[in-house]
Amino acid sequence: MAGWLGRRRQRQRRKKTRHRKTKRAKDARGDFISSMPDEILHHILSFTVTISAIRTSALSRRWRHLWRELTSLYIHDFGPQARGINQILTHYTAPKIMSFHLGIYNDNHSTAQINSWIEFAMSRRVQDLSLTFFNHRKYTFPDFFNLSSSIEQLSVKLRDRHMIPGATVSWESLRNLSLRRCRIRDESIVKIISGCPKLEFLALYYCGLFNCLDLSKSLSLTRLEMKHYPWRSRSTKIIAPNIHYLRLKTSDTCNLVDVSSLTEAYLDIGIDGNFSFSVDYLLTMVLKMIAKLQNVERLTVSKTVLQILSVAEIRRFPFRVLRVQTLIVKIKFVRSAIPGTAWLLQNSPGLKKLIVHTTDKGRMMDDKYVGSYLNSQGLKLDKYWRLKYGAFPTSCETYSMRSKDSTWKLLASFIECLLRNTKTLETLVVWLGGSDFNAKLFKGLLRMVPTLSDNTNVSIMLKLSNC
Amino acid sequence: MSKIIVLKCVGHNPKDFELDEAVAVQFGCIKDLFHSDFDAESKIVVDVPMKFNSYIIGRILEFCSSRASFSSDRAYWEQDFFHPCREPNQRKRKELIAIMEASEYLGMESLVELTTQSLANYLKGKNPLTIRSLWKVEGDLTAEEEAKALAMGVAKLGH
Repeated sequence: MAGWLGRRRQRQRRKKTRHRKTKRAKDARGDFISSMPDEILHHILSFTVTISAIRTSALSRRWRHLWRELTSLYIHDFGPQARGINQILTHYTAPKIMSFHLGIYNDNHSTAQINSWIEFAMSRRVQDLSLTFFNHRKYTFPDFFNLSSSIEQLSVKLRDRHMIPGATVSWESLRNLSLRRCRIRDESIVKIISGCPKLEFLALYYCGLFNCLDLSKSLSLTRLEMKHYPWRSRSTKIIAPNIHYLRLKTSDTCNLVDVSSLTEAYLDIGIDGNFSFSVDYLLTMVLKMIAKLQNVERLTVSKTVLQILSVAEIRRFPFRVLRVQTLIVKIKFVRSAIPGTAWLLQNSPGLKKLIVHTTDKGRMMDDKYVGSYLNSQGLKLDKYWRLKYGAFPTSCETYSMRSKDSTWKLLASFIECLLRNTKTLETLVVWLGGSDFNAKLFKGLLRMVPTLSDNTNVSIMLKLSNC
Repeated sequence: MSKIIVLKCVGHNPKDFELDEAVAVQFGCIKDLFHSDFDAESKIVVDVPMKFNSYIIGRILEFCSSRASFSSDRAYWEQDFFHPCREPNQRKRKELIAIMEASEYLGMESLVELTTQSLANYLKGKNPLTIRSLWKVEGDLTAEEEAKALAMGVAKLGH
């Protein structure tokens, strides 16, 4: 018995030592993140804001000076931290800054302070500069800001303040320029364009004051994006014979004087919540713009554009041929958006690929509004609309349909309508997103897709989007 | 003639992975092979360095054919592969770093960005003490040095 007890104790002791050994071994494998080379840690830290990177300097000796060599600084200032920012910049040692992002939330900092920070970045040959002023009322840009040979990407976000005071602009290496809510006059636009010989991408989001955008002398500029607020009616003129890609969001006349090299376009019409627009006016505007986008190979349209084109379909407006090969539509399955899709398909005889995104994002016109407009046109258009597209609910009715069967019927009617209006389509991809579709519903819908593909050569794909 | 690329993993658990075109074009370093004329062979073998074992490559290929690689949204990545908060396991984090390095080698930028951002989320907005316990970093600074480091950049006016 003693022998047996002794052996039992021996076994227990062996178990304990084994456990201790593995525990120690696990701890020894512990800190592998600190053993990674500097470049990898820098890369990881560059994905965080600077304050977080600075906090890692309190971890250990290994981490202490890592943040100083980071090539990207991302400073979002939330409080009266001018001294803090000065401290950061004093201790920063990297000789070159690749990207400098500065976000100022209040107007406690003096113009001189802010200028010193911008100068710091420019003195380190910053390549990607991003300045966001959320509230600053008194700040004006210094002259030296307009002259740089190192900046390749510039993004400025203001709150409807003036941007270029009037001095010469020379951003020799600038390739991407993005301005948001900056007030720029026509003369300033000219100065900027002529001062950026290498500009490839220009984005003007909700910028005011200018009326004409003449990019004819900008040979390298191939991508243009412009967005306007719907409640400030401003007509603009675009002369851009060299651009390949145009993204436009407007609610007033945008005269596309020359977009002859365009191959890809994204058209969106902004409407305000007060519905203070005239459908006729928008219709004329959209048809004119689409006429200019006739030769585009890849066209994307928003929900509001579809609604306006629906009016064109119901009123049987004739149109010239669109040469589009790939059409992307953003849609919600409501009655006012379906005829517009049909109209686009009827007028695109060479269409090969159609991509549909169902989404809740973006404002749409109320179907009641469209209905009352059609009524006002006489000719019983409202009745015709209800007859031909009755399978689709109006925007007020969509909330009541949630069952799998009704969703499937809706999707099937939509796809049937699409296939009826096209002869050349090869591929149809439908991304189901928004509140009408979820993962569970999607699985059920997927099983029913083969029944649709039976009568057609078109390859139909359903995908779940999480937008 | 459809080309097949074979990824040959050596090391602890050697394994060969056959990739078809749809998957292989997602790798920057392999994409070019499809555009050159390899009439003689329809099968090309790529040797993967020893430090990337077959498990890691397997995970990367899993990613390539999952919905996470088609969408630019992080949500799919976090749901299917790696959500920082739900992975308290040190081994999983090590795996994440290995995937990051391997996808850097293979030239798959989207995956590099996803993995690096996941790692960065561990450091973002966290107290150094939390980071130390998470990653088992040994603190070897004096109290004074540590206080100085923590005070950096957060000085308030008047101090």
